[in-house]
Amino acid sequence: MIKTIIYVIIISVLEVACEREADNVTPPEFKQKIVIGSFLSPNDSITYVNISSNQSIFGVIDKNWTITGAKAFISDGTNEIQMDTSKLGFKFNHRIMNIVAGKTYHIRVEADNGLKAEASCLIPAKQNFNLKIDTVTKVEIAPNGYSSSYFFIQFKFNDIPKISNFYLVKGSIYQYGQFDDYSLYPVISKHFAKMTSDLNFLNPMFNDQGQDGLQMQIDPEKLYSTEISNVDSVFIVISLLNANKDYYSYQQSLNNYNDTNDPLTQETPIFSNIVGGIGVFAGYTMDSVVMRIVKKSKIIKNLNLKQNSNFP
Amino acid sequence: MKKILPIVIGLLCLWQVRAQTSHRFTISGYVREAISGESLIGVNIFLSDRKTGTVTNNFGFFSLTLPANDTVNLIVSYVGFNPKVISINLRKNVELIVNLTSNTVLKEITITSTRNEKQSESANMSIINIPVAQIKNVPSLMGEKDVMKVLQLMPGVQKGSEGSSGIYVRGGAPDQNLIILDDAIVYNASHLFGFFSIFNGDALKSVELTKGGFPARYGGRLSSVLEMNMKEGNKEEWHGEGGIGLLSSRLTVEGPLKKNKSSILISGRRTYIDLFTRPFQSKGDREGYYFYDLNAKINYDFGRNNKLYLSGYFGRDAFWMDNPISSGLQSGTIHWGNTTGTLRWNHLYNNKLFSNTSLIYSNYTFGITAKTNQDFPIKNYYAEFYSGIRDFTIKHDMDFFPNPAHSIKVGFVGIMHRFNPHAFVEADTFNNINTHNVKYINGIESGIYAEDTWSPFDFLKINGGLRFSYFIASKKQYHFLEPRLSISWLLKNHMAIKASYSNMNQFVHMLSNTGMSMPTDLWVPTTEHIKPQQSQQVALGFVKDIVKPEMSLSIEGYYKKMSNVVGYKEGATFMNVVNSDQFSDNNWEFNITQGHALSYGTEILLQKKEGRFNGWIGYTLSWTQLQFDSLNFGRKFYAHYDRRHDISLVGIYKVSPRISISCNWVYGTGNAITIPVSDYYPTRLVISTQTSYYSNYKGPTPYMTLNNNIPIKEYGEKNNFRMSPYHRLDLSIQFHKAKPWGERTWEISVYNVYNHKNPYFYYASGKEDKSTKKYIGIIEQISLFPILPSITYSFKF
Repeated sequence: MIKTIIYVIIISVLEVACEREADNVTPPEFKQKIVIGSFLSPNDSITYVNISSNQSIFGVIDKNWTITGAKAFISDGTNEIQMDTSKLGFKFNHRIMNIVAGKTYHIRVEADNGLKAEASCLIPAKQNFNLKIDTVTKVEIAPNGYSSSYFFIQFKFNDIPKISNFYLVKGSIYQYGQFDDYSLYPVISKHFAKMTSDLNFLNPMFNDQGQDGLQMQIDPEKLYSTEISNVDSVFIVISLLNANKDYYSYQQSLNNYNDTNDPLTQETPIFSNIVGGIGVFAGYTMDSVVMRIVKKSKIIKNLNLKQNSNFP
Repeated sequence: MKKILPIVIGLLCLWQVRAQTSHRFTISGYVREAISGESLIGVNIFLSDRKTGTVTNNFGFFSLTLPANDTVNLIVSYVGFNPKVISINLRKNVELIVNLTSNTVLKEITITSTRNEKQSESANMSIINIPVAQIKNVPSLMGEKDVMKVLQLMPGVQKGSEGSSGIYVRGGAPDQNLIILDDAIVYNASHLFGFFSIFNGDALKSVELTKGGFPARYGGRLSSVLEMNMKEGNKEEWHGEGGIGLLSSRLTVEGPLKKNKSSILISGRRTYIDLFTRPFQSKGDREGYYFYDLNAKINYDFGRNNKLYLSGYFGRDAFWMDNPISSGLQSGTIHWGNTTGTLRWNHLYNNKLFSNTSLIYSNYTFGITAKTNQDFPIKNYYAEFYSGIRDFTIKHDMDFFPNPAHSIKVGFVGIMHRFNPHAFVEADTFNNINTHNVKYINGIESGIYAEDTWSPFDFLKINGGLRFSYFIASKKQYHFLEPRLSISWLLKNHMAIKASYSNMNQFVHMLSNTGMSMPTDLWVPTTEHIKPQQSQQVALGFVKDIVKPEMSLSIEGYYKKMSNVVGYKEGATFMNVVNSDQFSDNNWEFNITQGHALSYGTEILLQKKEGRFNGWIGYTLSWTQLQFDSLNFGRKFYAHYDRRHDISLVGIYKVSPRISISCNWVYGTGNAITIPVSDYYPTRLVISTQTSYYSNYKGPTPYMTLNNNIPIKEYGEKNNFRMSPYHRLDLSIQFHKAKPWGERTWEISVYNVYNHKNPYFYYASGKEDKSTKKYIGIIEQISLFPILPSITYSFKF
């Protein structure tokens, strides 16, 4: 309602305004650019590089701009290989160009009409973050005497000192068991089907500024009921991406992106580290921790705590 | 030490002997308007050689200590008043009350109120004085005379967007302006979403804007000090003035409570759009808007040594809407306003030492309320968001005039702030919600200062000072020493070269969106995480006073570096702060980012303050760049209000005693805005999991995939596009006529005479070409004010 009032006011102000096509300014001239999207990680065996073209938004929009005759090259500073084409651009197998933590890689894309784009990225060094998940149970007793049991999740890891680290955390709870599949008719029950609910972190992107070398604790916000039925097993899976700064800036700008014409909001440019083009060429390492908390409908705390680094 | 002590004692004895033998006496007193008894600020008092002199302070007091002389010819002069020559036999201390008579051809009294000190003779620079009478003659939007809009016509002062009354001084944001009305800080100077300012010209006596070279007595803001003083009220007889315009009406009444001792002034203004439109609105949805303001001042003169002033301002804006629903009513309001109160006590310790002590209250509140009352099913919902800032201030200033070569000011100020960046109250009987999330942050801001205006030689004037600023909030303390210096070197032919340096700190910040001067702007304190804003400014100038016709020309260059300036983070808005879903005590802190600003430029002003034809020509060439680590990826960008060229021409011409015409023309480079340049599909990295039959036992395997199915706009650099230049011509003609009861004036004014569609903002849009059926991407422009004629009836009695 409060937002409604503010928008009504803005609209009231603009009601007296006159709207027309601006003939006193020249729209920005369209320059075709190669759009690159690629993320290098030692965890992967194949790296994909998405290639596309940006599209004109002013003037007559009568064609879909595409990149033709493109060639892409990846280099580790010593060797350079030409990448294979893929459905959305290019790819290369890490057996041909190994992606190593702590190393810098360069990408170069050339296409028809003299289009060129290039970028560099540093893969963060391999670290032992010592990921840990804990669950803490909370029992609430209602005035009528009924008790409800909840648990919340704590995720901890050790920051690596003396270097700037940029983190992204993502987690989910996976339940395996017998669930009804409502996508089918008649509805049938499926055994060993999966149900996923994402963990909601208040601030899933953060860096170690002011916390260098400390143990960091990032907890999901929500409380989860321990009353889980019809499941064979429940897992908490949390992945920690240690990204380079470019990836962090890029992802942050995507999260903040706003393209409404709301005059109260500032426009949010998307980060790009592509010279001569747009997009991102960034690196990361990923570590995950998987914890099984339920076996045969019973809560089993810390049944299977493991750190799963460089998951196959 | 043994060697130094006799030298010091010797020098002191020498000084004492010199003091005794030179026989110096002091001429002190007050300068007033002859008919009303209104004290006059900034009156120039000098000896006939013009080399020795002083000016009256904010309460009309002056003190001049001179060697004994049989005849001293004192010249008292002030713009708009007949100069007075007073011959004094200076063989003892002399106390004067100087009454000046207006030189206006009209019968009524007009306190034109501007300093008549020649600019070349002043130690300070970067100061703008505009006579209130001149403000009243400048054409205005809808006939509403507006101090802030007139200031926007001065070099170095820019508006934010079309119609807005907010000011951007030398690349500073609106929160960097210290706006004070009778010593009280005014936090929001806008009515009607920024289109009009809250200051009623009928109640004002003086308006002075300092853009740089700040004397040490000013502190707490980086970019400017706008000091306004209200009229005291006529001490001799009752008078009044008022006006009826298309948007609002106003009335001011002033008169003596006790002749020559005490007077009162009350001035009010209110809009009536809501009253006029109410009969025409349907019984269904209704909405309305109004603003009003009230100024009042009362004073008592206890004699030469003690005077007491009590003044206040109270203003409110309110927008409301009612929306009937089945068996009930939904309603909402948005309201904001300032309340200020100042109690001032002038005390004269002796004929060289004047003091003023002020107790000040200032409160700004902004609120939004939403209500739903429904009979079936029974549902009562109430939500209120509000924010604000409340100050209690004590201030003590002393003016000491030991001799004509020195004018010393010392003082202190202590402000107890109570910030309420956001508060949210929600009551919902249907859903059993009862939220009361209100938290105040207290802060104490204080400053102690000393400054001296020193003339070591006839050609050299120096204003040097030091201010110690201190702030504490949320257990975090900040303190700074702020050196200030202004130097004026008088050349021949009324020319002077000036230079200044000032170091400023600011502990309160305003979070603003896009320069629209919305009341949604939030005042927040410096905290442990939010650092004080800081600036250093140097300026160099040249001044030439032209004797005939009496005009002044000033050319100033400035370079200002600011750090810790505040802004919303990318994508953050006022909405993020009020969003009750994410409401937390320090939600606003998460939405703030701090960075650096750099502004530099040149300002030229040719001004003629009096005469049949008066006005000014102003030109500013400036650059303002910002750099925030978390905006534009840390790269520098031009501020929204960066304006390369800004020109204003203002002319007021008295055709005859009964007719005066005025016009102003403004031109400014378009604002810097962000416009998309293309569309593209960015690649996103998405975490997925691989599930197999064994996942039931081992858990899923996370892995990363690429996704690029959501298009976005490519903006390039922030503020990468310039709006088209802004220009506008306004005209006004006033018909004055003397009536048995006083004088009436009809004013016809036309805003934006040649109907130029100035851009308010742009956005990317599209349309279909009717002939080719092809889609065409275009830029749409929103313009606010076309040609707007208005008529106003004013009267004085």
